[in-house]
Amino acid sequence: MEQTVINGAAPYLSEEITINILKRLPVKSLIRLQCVCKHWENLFKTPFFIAAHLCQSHQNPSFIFSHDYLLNNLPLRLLDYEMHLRDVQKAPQFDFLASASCVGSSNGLLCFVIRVGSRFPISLLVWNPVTGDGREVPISRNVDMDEDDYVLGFGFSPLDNDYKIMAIYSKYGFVSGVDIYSLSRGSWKEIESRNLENVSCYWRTIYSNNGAIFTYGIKNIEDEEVEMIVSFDMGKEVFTLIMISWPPLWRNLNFSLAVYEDKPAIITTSVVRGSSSNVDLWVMEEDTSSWSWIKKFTSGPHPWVFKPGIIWRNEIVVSGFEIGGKTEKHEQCLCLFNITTNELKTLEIRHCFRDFVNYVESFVLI
Amino acid sequence: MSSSVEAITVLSSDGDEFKITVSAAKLSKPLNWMLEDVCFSDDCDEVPTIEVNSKTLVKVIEYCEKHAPRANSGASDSDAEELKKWDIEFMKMDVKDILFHILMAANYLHMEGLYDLACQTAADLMKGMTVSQIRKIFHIKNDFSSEEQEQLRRQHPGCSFD
Repeated sequence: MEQTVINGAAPYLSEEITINILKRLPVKSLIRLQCVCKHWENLFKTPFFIAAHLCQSHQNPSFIFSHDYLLNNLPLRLLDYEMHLRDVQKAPQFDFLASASCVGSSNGLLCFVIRVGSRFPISLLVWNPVTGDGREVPISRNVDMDEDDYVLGFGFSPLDNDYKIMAIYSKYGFVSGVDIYSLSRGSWKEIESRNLENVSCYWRTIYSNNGAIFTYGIKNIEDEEVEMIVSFDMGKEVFTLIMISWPPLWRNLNFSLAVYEDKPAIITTSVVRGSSSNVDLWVMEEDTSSWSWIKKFTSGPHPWVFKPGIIWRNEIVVSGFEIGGKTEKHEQCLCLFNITTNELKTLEIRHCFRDFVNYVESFVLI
Repeated sequence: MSSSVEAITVLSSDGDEFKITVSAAKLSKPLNWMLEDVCFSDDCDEVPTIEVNSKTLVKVIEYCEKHAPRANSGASDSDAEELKKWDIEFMKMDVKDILFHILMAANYLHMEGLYDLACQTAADLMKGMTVSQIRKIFHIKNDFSSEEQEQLRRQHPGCSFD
């Protein structure tokens, strides 16, 4: 091993060691360090470095949330792993009043559905907030909001190293077809979805880092409504239906689909006695041959009104306001419940939040 | 190697002798191979040389001795917590005088734990350094022309070349 020392100067590090240090720096620092030399500036754009940095970034995840409707840009805020809050820069601008909601996030790429007003989807946007690069993707089918509906998902498929958008279309309440957009191919294609016949798919999807997208479903079997979780394998592009009643009392609760240790989970925030709330986490666990919901966490009652969000690191993230507290209804807080210690942290933030999405900063190209 | 041997003697690149316990030496793959290949009994003349200078080797051995009990037997959460605090204290050192040497030694000795710790420490320190400080410790010359600097500054208003 060579250890050249010149008058107390630092020894020369090999390229391998230098990269191992640099990949641990946050995006903000790397943008600054592009100015060190041309070699570093180019290094940060190589697929090898981008992959190494992404891998490290997954250990320091942040999350993004958006607020407000009908704007001509996309205002987003970010809470980083050190609990620092900041605005996301380089937000896309629209030349019309749009409402955008987040479809999903994976490896530093965000996918939004852009609507004119608040109803008609016009396009999808895949965007990396770090580089500012984006790609607009047209919706694959015409959607007549009177009879049609759609559920969208976005994520990464490790199997074919590709990012995909999944669109489940429904007609009169039942699934009528599924299209997949591949970012590497740059086009949509319809996929086989016979097992979704007579299934109604609802609301949001959630992406799990192991390459699956989950959503809720209901199937009509002999006039009985059977509840299920629909799981989509991003690589094989097939759906699996897991017949499982949703956690009890869900109809009376606020709830959101989340991912806990790669498994589907549901965060519920119930109001008890009209003046306080409980926060619960249910995780879908496999037990020999059947699936069931295990209550992993419960906290409350709290004198708060909560809206469920996501699971971030070991915390359940919800938004809310304290009943009779010093914050007004429109000045909400972020509330983080530690799943292990039950500790509650609150962060005061203005505006109402609509979407929470897990996020890691990366230089991943589109 | 006789099982009664508890510590071995190694030479640094400066020629100084150091003792390291067998369990601590096992944290390094190359040292572990040496243990299997070389005779370490008292009557053996051969003392293996490790291509690490004395100042660095002292620190590397200190790290090994501290981490060996946990690596060999597993540890409770409170031990792990204590060890984390110890690591933070241990890593309070000058970048160019010693941290970079430790990085190279940990890489050369295939000590994953120490290598990761040292890389992370270096990265954390770089967050607070100016671009010119970083150029100095990495022996890098600014090879941007003034036009290129101006262009980068326009693209990234946060950029500073100093």
